[in-house]
Amino acid sequence: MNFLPLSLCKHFFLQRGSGNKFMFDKSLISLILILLLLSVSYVFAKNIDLSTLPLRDSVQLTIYNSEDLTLVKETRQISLKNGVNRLQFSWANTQIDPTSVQLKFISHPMQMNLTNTIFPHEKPQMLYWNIQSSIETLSTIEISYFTSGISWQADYLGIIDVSGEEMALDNFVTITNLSGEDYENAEIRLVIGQINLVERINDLVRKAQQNKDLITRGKQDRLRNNLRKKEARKMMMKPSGLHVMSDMAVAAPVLESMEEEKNIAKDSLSEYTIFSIEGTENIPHQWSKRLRSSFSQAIAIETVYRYRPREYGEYLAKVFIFKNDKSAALGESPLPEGKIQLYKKNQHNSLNYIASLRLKYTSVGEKIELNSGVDRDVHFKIVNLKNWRDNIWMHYKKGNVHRRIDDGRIIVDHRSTVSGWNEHSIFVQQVRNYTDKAIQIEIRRLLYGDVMIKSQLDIKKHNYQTVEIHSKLAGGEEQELLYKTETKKGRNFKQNKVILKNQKVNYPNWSISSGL
Amino acid sequence: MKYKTLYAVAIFILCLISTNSYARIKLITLPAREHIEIQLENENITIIEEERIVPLQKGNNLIDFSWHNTSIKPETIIFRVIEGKDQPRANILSVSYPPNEAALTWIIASDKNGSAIVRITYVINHLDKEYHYIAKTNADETLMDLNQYIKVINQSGEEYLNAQMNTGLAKTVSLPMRLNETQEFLNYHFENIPVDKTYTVNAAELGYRNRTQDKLNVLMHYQIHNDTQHNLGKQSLAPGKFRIYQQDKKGSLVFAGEDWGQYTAKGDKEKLYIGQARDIVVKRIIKRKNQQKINGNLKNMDILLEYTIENFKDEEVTIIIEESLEYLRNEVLPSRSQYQLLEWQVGKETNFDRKPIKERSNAQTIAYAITLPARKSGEKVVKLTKKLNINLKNEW
Repeated sequence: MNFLPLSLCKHFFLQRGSGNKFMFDKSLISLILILLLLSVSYVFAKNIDLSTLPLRDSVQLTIYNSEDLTLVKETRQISLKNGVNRLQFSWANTQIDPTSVQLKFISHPMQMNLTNTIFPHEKPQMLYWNIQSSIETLSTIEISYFTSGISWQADYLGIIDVSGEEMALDNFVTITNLSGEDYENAEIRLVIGQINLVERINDLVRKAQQNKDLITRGKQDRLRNNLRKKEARKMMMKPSGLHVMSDMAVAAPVLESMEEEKNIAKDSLSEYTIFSIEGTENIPHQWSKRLRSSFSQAIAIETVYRYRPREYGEYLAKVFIFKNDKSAALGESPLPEGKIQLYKKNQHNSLNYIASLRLKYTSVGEKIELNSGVDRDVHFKIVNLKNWRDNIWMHYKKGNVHRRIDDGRIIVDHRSTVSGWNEHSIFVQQVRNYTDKAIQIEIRRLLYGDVMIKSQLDIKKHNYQTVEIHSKLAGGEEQELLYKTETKKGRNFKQNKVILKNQKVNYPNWSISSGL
Repeated sequence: MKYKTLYAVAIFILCLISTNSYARIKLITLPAREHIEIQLENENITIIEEERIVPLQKGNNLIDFSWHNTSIKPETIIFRVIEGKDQPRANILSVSYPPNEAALTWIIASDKNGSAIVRITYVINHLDKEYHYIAKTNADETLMDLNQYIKVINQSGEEYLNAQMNTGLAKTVSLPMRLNETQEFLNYHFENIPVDKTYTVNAAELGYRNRTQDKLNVLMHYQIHNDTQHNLGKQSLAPGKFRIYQQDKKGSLVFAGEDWGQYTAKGDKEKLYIGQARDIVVKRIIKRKNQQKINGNLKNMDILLEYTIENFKDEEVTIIIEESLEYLRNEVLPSRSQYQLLEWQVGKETNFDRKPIKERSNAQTIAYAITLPARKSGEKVVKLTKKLNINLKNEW
């Protein structure tokens, strides 16, 4: 049973107040005090309340994922008399930004007027509104504020079929409430996009909290006693002090027709996309809830093996590529950033784990590339086979001239130094496909300096210093992709560039040369 | 007495705090597992797939799944309803995660009353596996029998009785895994695998057995081919320790050595270092180095390496001589002013019978294979002298 032993507490305090009737063990007293203080944490939820108001009628949460920010809009029914009405709104121990609290009159905007808002110095997490009303009526008001502590995250489950050509993709959204407040029957909207905030909500809350600490330090003991008593009273009245999700508290109702998954409507606004969850949800403090946002079957995926050291590291990466568009059974909305768990179905309908990856924000029509790392059944190695130099120039100190050593006009000068040369290198890119499926590979090579690359491979320039080589390998095939580079060095260097030249390259045989 | 009361108060309050997070309304907890598959195929990850039959009522059902003290990775949990005839159609409406608990609740809508077969898949930590191999070669080291063992170590906090181990082969192995239990099983047995036995020397990488006498280390390797032609190739070979035993002439087994086997894809080769050969002696000396100035600071270097090889074995052996040109350059030109790309040619005094080995030769290394005749009883051991003439070019 979960109630605070009020009688015991009272007993305890009475005894304490009656002048050390018992000799308490100091450590035991401190233990009890700590425990009591811990139990007081209960009080910290459900503290947003207007002193004269009933509970919320409706609440809407707009949760941003780029910042720790949620816009809460709640409506309440309020009885107002003719003349000046003073309303109190407090939010102790929640994550609300005090600078963002706003009041709006929904039902009688013409008859009501907010005269002023008072932020009492001694109670930082509280405000008073003075409302001038020209009628006596039951009025609907809307209170809106920013809070931190509520977040949402997208995550994905990708299941690749046995053939490896199609994938089923589930997109989920998980909402987590650590705001200190329970939100029941809340309409939820999720915002994807990068918004600009000049101050973080959390910092604003902390600022207010620090302020409060300064003020209340002297009054702490009294406040704790009050809270403790209040909590005890609350517990006595409540059979269970648990956070219970209301839809779980009762046995699930038997419905006439089967309930379908909630529809999550996608809409766009300025630079943002908004996911609106159908109906309402209950999200108590400290709970998370995960809902499926979309499900797409038979998404055509392409598998490419890429060597891109700058992007992926020094290995041949197995990359899955698909497009967020209609042709791929997607494209309904942008895909928010989130973790994706990739699995592959095997013949027994079981799932083999591939990787847990990060899916970046993907616009409609944009490509998604998922690097699943090294496939150990596809070997890749770059080997430098042979190097040599030619077109060597010497710099003669005497006369300050440069001469090519093989031009027949060489001057014997012991103090001369090499000033320019061309470097030739042969490389082989060994690829072996140990899988039984055909694969395609893309190799990017960064070539520094003034370079000419000679080869008969499918090669093209990616940028002025990088080339990209493409090839296809059948299951079990091995390929030796050869190319030769000629790099101008020293005074032969003109500018950083890469020139492509179609030329056959032979594998060197290191045979015996004619000597020096 | 008074202390006791106070302790009671303390414990009572403590209980009060703790029950706050633990007591939840639980409607359906999952029924017992019908079938469990432990997937050991992935190198660093173990996946559990469990099948359960869940009674569903028409309407919304709450299914509670908890994993207290178990190393399940919660973000990997997948709930799938296996479609079948007469089974209710089920929709997962949402998943709720209670605070401070290793648990979740699925809200599942069903179109009728009935039992659904569901599969729950997740990644689990601390349920690890290790591969190791026991190999037995015949007396002349030409054929090998190989056993692959898998050791499964369960420290995951959960027991999996009736578990089927899926190791990537067509069949699964039935193995109950209790808490904190380690079990080992024979996953595969291969017979009559042809073995290539090689000897290698490489001054730079494998070093000297006796530096003052210029005697090189001679390393002995076994090479096996993971393909069906070589009686292997059922699946890739996972990394693990290979212990190699050899049958002696009396038929008993002698431990010959061990090595860490690398991951070997189907169709690839596995090379295992077994030990050093003492009955093959290879001496390496730099017989000549001759610097030839071209002009100014530009020069060539003519080097003659000499290998003297003796085979004290009663059998013919093939040895691979590898030479690292970078190492050689450092030996003959230790004080170069700046690093230049290595340019070299094989000179005409080289007297190896065969061409360089393509797979082992590149811009930094050259490798030759030579066959050494067996020692003939009563005769003197044949001493082979092989020359390698290297011209380092355009150095400055």
